[in-house]
Amino acid sequence: MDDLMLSPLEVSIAALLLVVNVLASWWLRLGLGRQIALSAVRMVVQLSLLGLVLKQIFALASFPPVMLLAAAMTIIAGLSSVSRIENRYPSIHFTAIISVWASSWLVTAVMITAIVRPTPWYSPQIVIPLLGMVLGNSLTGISLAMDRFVSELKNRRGEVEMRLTLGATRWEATREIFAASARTAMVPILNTMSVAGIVSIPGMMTGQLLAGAPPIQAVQYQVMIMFVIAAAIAIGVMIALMISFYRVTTADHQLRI
Amino acid sequence: MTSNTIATEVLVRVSNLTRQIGETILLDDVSLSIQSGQCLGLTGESGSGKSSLLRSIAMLDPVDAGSVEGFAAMISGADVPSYRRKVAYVSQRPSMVAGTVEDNLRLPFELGSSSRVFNQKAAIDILESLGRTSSLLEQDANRLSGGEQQSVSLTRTLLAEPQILLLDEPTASLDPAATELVERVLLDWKNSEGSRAWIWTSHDANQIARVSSQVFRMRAGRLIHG
Repeated sequence: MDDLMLSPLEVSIAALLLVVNVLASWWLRLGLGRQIALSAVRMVVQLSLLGLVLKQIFALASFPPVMLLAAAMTIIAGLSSVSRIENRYPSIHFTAIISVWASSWLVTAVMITAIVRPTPWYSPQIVIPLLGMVLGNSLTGISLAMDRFVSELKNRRGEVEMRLTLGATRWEATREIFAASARTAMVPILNTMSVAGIVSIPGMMTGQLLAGAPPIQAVQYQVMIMFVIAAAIAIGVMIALMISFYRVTTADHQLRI
Repeated sequence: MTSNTIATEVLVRVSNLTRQIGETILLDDVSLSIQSGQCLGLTGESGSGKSSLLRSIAMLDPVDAGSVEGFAAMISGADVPSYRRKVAYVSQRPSMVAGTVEDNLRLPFELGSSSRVFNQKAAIDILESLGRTSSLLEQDANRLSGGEQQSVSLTRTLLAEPQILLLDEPTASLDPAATELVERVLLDWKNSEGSRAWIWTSHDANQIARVSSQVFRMRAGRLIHG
């Protein structure tokens, strides 16, 4: 495998490909050069920092730093899921963090204790990348669900209130919007699952193949992670929508937003 | 029960309702009771708090202070949906769900707590008395004119057989002929059962005189007796 290790020089060759883009942007006056350069530098800095942190934590291989990093990753995932939401309500950050946390940690715990079973169970080389994959996907689902739920409630406020005036409970008045929001949030993962292996070789499988794993084992890991990610999204979306439902309606069957 | 005893029965009593959004005071310590058979008129400038009062009586908006008592019980939590079926708020801007007019008229009967069934003939009777025809039932509710939607909205409310109507400028978007029909239908509804009552808000002093026996005025969130 050593011949697949990348040197800084080889990484710079890849960076040169991006320089071509910057030159093209400058030539065509697209005004994208600065943004491309900034994003590239940001990515390099972020990933390098992650590399340094992971190096330390992998070397320590003890329980507290792994949990600390996992918790930090989870909180950042929760906060960034809200940053993409235009329609917010007070305490939406709390909702996002709780939903991301509960769903990702639950499915990652099942994956580690019942499926992958590393030794020790908190082995950072296993736990951190797996949790990262689950977080990345569930935050997108949670973000989509909450954005749709709150924006639809605002846009269809008249209709929701009309149902309430007829004697609907808050659940009856918002059920359609709740269901539509859950469906919207599940669309990306359902699309990914339906084209996996046809349009692209998914990330985890690519990683395993590059690391020299047999294709069948790589497939099994990919299928497993897809199931786990879909479960994390579904659980996270349900928790996020339920908390949002209780935050934007009152016990007296009123809208609070 | 004689009409005298009906007239003294308090159906709904709201006490000390206060609602403020930011610096704006929508309701300032408003108390009011609705007795059976009463027709209350409510006037006031735009923004004086008329809609806020009706919405708060219907418990559609959270209030900062105050209470709503309906049919001799304090109303909160699980009681609210059944209270709203008896005390129906009619918005000046009717809302329709996607589907036909009939789908919209069936709504009150599709709620989990409803034990009654949709009566198409009763629906057509009300629509016709509002100057519409039965062909309206099959039409897409969201493609109707504002006046047609208000007819559907009123029909839907009356089919659910409330005891009190909270009418928030129900004829604001209607022409004089349609206004007259709405007034007639609502007066018939009121007269067909002595205990029925309403609060009717309007900017039209003549209309208020026609539809109410007692008039209140709102100013800056406060209720002033006529």
